[in-house]
Amino acid sequence: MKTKTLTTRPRAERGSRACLKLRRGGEIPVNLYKATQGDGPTQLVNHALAASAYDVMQLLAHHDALLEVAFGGGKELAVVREVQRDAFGDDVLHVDLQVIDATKPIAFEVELAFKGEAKGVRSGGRLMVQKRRLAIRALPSAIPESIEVRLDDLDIDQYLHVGELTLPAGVELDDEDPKGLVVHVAPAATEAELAAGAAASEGAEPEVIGKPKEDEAAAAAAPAPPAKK
Amino acid sequence: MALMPKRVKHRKVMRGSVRGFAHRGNRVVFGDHGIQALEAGWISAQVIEAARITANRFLGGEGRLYIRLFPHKPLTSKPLEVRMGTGKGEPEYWAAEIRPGQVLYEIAGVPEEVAKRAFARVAHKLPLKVRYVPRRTQ
Repeated sequence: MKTKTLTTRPRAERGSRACLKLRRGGEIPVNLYKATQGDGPTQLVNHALAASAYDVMQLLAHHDALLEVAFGGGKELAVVREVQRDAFGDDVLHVDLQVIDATKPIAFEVELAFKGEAKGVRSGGRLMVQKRRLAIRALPSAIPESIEVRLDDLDIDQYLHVGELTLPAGVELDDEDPKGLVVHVAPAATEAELAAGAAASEGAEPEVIGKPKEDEAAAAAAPAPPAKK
Repeated sequence: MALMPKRVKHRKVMRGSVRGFAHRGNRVVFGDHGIQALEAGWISAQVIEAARITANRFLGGEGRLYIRLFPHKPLTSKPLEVRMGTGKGEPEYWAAEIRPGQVLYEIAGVPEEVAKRAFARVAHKLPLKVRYVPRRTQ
């Protein structure tokens, strides 16, 4: 994966109002988290930064998640850990970055790139993708842009599992079940499947929770039979 | 058949008002392409079903359609020529409350052009302004 540079500046003001002002000025609040190992427990240092909204959008649009973040005279290698967007998913509101060590493997999620047309799809089946990103562990320099998945040999009712994927050298699965389903080719939908809607009958009413059903209510309301003497 | 809940806590609910934006259900999750609401409003179960049939007929068995909305809200009405008063009307139909940003339908397994044409047909059925949204990685 290529490393891109993101130029930032430290921001002194915190809080939602300050962030709003920042966004109106064409910048995005960025938090850079760095874990420091001392004598005691690991400390997490947070650098509050601001970056140009245009630069951040450009980086995210090209799936560049490995960044060299320049801030306050220093540079750190970082990955994008979380991106907050607005309700429509257009504008980026906030980005969380995590500083990484180039010499240690990191956990990362990589896109799966599906290549070729499955044999089953050519004969009328439907490709059902169950997994689009794969959790891997690798050195930052060995993280691929995407992991290629060849579909050519998949026939109808055949499955491809995580364990069957070919991973690039230096990349291993991280917290992924090897039996997890990646993709399968389903038979073409039948007319009945296409026509099937909800299994509700016309004019029916849903059951009201806590309310006795009509026959139970009627039974409760009916006078009790006289006791035998 | 139109969608409706199986069990509800109350037969009738107040109309309420749809405020704010969709902060959940506003991303394409299951498919590759989605159709996103740009306005707030109600979409009745009949409309959800009509849009589903339209999309499935256009896709003709290719790909897969996901419905991302469900009519949870019962809406009541009074019969014609009835005097005011005497309580709330009877449940007439079910509707989904939609906030701007909500993804309504998704399609997987077809090229973008096909999905866009299917969604154009779906959009004709819907009472809200909508737009096409692709799946986003981040």
